[in-house]
Amino acid sequence: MICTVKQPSISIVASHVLLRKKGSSSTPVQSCSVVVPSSHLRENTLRSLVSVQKPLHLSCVGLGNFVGCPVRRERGHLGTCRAYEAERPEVEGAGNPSEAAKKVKIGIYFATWWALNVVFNIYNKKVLNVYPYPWLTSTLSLACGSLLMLISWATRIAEPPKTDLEFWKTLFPVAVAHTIGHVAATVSMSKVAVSFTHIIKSGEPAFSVLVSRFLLGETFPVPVYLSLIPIIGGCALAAVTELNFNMIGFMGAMISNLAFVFRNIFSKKGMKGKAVSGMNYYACLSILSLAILTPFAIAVEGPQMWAAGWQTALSQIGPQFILWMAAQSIFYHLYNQVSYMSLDEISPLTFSIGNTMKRISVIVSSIIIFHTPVQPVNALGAAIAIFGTFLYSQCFEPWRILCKGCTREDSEGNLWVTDCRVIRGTNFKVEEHALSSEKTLAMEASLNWFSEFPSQLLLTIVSLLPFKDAVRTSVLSKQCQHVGTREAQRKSFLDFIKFWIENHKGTVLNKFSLRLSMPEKVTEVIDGCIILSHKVYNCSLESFKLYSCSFLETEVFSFHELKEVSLGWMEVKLSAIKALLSNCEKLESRVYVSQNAGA
Amino acid sequence: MQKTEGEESKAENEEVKQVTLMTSDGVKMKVEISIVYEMEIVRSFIEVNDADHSVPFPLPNVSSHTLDLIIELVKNEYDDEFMKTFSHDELKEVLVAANYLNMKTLLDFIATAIANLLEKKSVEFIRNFFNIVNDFTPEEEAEIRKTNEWVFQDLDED
Repeated sequence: MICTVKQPSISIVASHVLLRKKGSSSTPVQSCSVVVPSSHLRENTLRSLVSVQKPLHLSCVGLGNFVGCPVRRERGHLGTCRAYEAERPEVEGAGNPSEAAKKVKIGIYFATWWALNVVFNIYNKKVLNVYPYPWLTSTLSLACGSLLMLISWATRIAEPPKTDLEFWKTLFPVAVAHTIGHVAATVSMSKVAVSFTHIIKSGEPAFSVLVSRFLLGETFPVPVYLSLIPIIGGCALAAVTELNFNMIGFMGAMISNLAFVFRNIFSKKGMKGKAVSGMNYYACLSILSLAILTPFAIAVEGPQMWAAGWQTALSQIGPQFILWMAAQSIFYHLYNQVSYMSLDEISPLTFSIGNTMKRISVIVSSIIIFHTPVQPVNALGAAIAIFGTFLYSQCFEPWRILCKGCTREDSEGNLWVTDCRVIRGTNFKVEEHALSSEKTLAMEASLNWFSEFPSQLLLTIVSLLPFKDAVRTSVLSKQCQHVGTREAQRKSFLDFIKFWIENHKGTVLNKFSLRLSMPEKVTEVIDGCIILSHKVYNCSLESFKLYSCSFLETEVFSFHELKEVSLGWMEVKLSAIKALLSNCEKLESRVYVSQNAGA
Repeated sequence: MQKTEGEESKAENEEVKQVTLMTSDGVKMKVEISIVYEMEIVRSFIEVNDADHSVPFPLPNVSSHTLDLIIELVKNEYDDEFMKTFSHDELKEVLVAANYLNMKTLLDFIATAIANLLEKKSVEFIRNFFNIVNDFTPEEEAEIRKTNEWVFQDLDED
């Protein structure tokens, strides 16, 4: 009979730099882990995992915050606890392949998006020149998009979304804004040069800030407001000096700006926590917009005008005209689809910056293709406006706060809670994380629940609560939802770990791992882990790995079953190593002691 | 020299045995020195100053009723059964007082007791307990509840 027993293990992992000398730059990523096998009790096995991971490469200074740690138990048998602590951004240079890949992916999205947009604009303008019915062309664009998506759903090229009434309800305001913005832009383009429409539309960041400021009550730092001056000034200059100025064309572009700002705000809200992702989201948006737009298009222009115009256009251009019509409709859908796919990956702000860059390519290409007459002053106005949007993105970025608290459930059913307050959000990894874990927060106790109650007391009480109950306190009031300080959050986390260790009653642990930044400050927690390993395993530790830790006390380690020992990035007294190894007769793999060890 | 001083103060403590505390409502209470020693705030005062113990030590943040409860708790060596007779307000008052008086053991004891009380209780119960005003709109609250749905399940009756 062959019997395989998979040895359960305990591992204690501590990370971060303990012995790094001040000023030294290259420090390997550190961690320490202790792996212990369990005794052979198979009954009542409690699997537990506490793992605190260094998550994201935060590009801000000291704002990585920990928030919480979830515990989940199923039938009292399997318990998994994971906690997540943001690291200070010192590992920035360490690089993460997936992060680089992410950036490349975003780059490809952007390039495709811009190229498709240029093509759409050119064909759209060509069509509008000979067939000036913007309402119909907008309707056809949307209809074409809806049709393409319905076909790909029917043929299973794309997975049809699972939608409910709630989803369509949240989508409705987005669709209204989208419809208005789209029609207004097309109307504008039918009246004035493509380049002019896009110069005016480059003022979108200004609308974005003003709407956020006055309607949503968000405040921005002064540089952001200052950057609006060249944007607005440049747009105004370009508008005033425009040779073919047309009020309807100008207002159309302005309305479109405003509508798209709302669309982005609504759609960002709507996408939160929804399973419908970029592509399908856009498809649903097209369908709903089409439904909204069609009656209006018929009312404004009507089939009779369309038919008459059609004959004229066809006689002027020939059958080629139908191709143009088809091209503008298809490319409209494609470029929007790509932009929505990238909106899944990035924040509305980065999106709006990409949008501005896209505009430059459209303006330049349309001027070349349509031989639009451009005055030097006019070009200067456009340049100032676009330079303004660049300044805007530069001064806005460092002040950005991306996400607050998040919880996320992974495929194994573990709930992850994290809080990354990120400033200067150039990091797509962070943004992606923020999006993939939209849910808001968790284990936070307010420091000011109410005035006469010392805040620390509430934190004390909340930290004594089981995690599930602690999470529930986030709904008490707005103040309770967010904790102010990093220390308080870290404390509640550490208290939770301590509480968990102290109250752990099982005799068998399959795996226990804890990864923690700055373990030198929480030696009692780590000591607690080791004591736990003694309690649970009766010193039957099999694999022992320690990196960058300073708690090597000879008396702590009285393990007899060690098969593997690995130490690194720490100062260890030779006597301590001898003491550690002297009792071990079962050592199998070689003992690895790396730099800084010895002496 | 130091030794003699220590012996002197020890002798003095034995002599006094009791310290007079004056509560917020103006009641003067004589409290055994062993209990007073758990109150770090008073203890540090007594130890630093060679104070005259007949002068009442003012405790402007503690009511006489709360001090009674604290003394009883300490005397009974933190009896769970006794504490179960406390009302919610009494629990909170003792918690705040224990914090103010810097009585670590009592603070741990009472905080744990409150945590046990709040465990598996509904949000409404906890709000009520701490007099927290709910400033969420129903929609906001519903959304937060939805994001962490699992924590709102399997609660005890209030």
